[in-house]
Amino acid sequence: MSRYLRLYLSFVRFSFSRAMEFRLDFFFRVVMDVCYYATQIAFFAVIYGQTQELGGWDRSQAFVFISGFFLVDALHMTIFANNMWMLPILVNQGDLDYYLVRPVSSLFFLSLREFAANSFLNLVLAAGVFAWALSGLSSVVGVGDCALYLALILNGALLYFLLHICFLIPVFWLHSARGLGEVFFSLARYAERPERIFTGYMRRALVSILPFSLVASRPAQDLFEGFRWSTVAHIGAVTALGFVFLLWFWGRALRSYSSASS
Amino acid sequence: MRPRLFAQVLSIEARKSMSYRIDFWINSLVGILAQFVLVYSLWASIMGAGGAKDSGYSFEAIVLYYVLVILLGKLVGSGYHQGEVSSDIYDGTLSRYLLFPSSYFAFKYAQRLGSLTPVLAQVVVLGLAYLLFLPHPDDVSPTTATVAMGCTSLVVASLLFHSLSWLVQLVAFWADNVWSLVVMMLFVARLLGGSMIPLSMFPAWSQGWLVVLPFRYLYGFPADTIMGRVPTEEWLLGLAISLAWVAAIGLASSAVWRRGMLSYSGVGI
Repeated sequence: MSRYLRLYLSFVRFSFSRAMEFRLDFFFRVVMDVCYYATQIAFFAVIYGQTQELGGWDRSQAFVFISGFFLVDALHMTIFANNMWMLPILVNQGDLDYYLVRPVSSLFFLSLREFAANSFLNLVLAAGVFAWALSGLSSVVGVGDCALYLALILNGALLYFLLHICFLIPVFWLHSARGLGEVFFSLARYAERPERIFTGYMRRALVSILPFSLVASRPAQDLFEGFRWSTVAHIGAVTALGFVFLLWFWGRALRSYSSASS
Repeated sequence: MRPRLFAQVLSIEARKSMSYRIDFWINSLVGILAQFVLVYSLWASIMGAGGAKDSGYSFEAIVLYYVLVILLGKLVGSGYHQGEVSSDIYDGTLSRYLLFPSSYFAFKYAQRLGSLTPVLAQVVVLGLAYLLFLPHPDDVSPTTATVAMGCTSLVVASLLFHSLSWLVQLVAFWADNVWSLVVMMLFVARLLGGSMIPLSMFPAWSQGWLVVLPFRYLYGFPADTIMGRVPTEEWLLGLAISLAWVAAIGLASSAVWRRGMLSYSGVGI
């Protein structure tokens, strides 16, 4: 375990020194994420110009929800996103071999090797937006509830990563340079909207087999209505099952890897 | 660039983009369906709660609007070439194109249109699915004339998108990695172009700005035109504004290209 921790710290150190070499890119990445936050906030601002409530939430609650999602997104962009971007390309070009021969878990190495130092700054910005949204909330949120919410947001980032990588792994069979990345990004938008706007099978799917609503929406819902341990257990169970599924899926994928480029 | 060469490049690119057929159809169809279900759920929830009464759209009309925006958006702003110009500059591949006896801009535009040819088939299939399976709005009256006007707007929108994307990517002459700038442009274009929300729902103070900015003419304008929501005079004005943007961006791009070529080493990374 300590070996993996030391290795990860090396990844982080290396990423920071490299980010400083590409300063303009560092700046662009920060501005890009700010732009994303601004468009999402503007989206909800315009929507609330048309309606008083959306999925049972008023404007201030929707802002807390979406700023919670910004935290998930910033964590994902910082820790996982660069690695997810490279994974289909490595498989497609047959470059995965270099990672498979290393004396550490290939899944660990491929998922965490690139730490996006520039997006780390956006994590600070996202936290600022979250604090601003929380201060505008009509009801008071206790410290304990806030801490539990942030723990669920951390879990949401892990869940988001699990979903993302599960959509990329089919590249081992499809051999394209993208996997099902576009499908993931289309579905990931469901995580940016309140769970209660969906009904029927769609809503059930979004808290079970495609748990995008568990990333930020369900935690926000419990933050406003009071936490239920059943929700926490549900989110924990889905994440654990997702992780087990990923390990199985990754094993199957590696057995199909031919090392030939495409 | 000669039309025959343009057509050849387009044809090669169309075949190339179909080389991973399963991947292509899954990514495109599921992506479009997912987007549609999302906006359908959103507006069913808003209108079910009595919202958007003064928006000027019935529920069926807003469904049609999003069907058009999603499908036409695939033709305007998708394709696999959004980062290729900057990559060519960054890794030095541009040198190869500079030796070609044709315009690099036209070559890339032909490639872009070629990659969109299979998307056209999807747009037709899904458009027919809409006509067959979803209820049609009573308050919207598309005619042959509005469809023709919308298609014209779509052609200009495609050129405008390519020009915008081109200008942004030319920053690669001075920056190492500009994909984040392209993504940023997409975020702004989706919001201010009416892809996320119809522009008529934006606050009154912003309407003047939305008309003069180029983004409206990428998504919302062609969709509203087809729906018959844009009077002929307004359509002509819109077309003139979007063409003026194409010309202005073209002039700016030429200046940036000339400056960029002076600093281009051709070495690449």
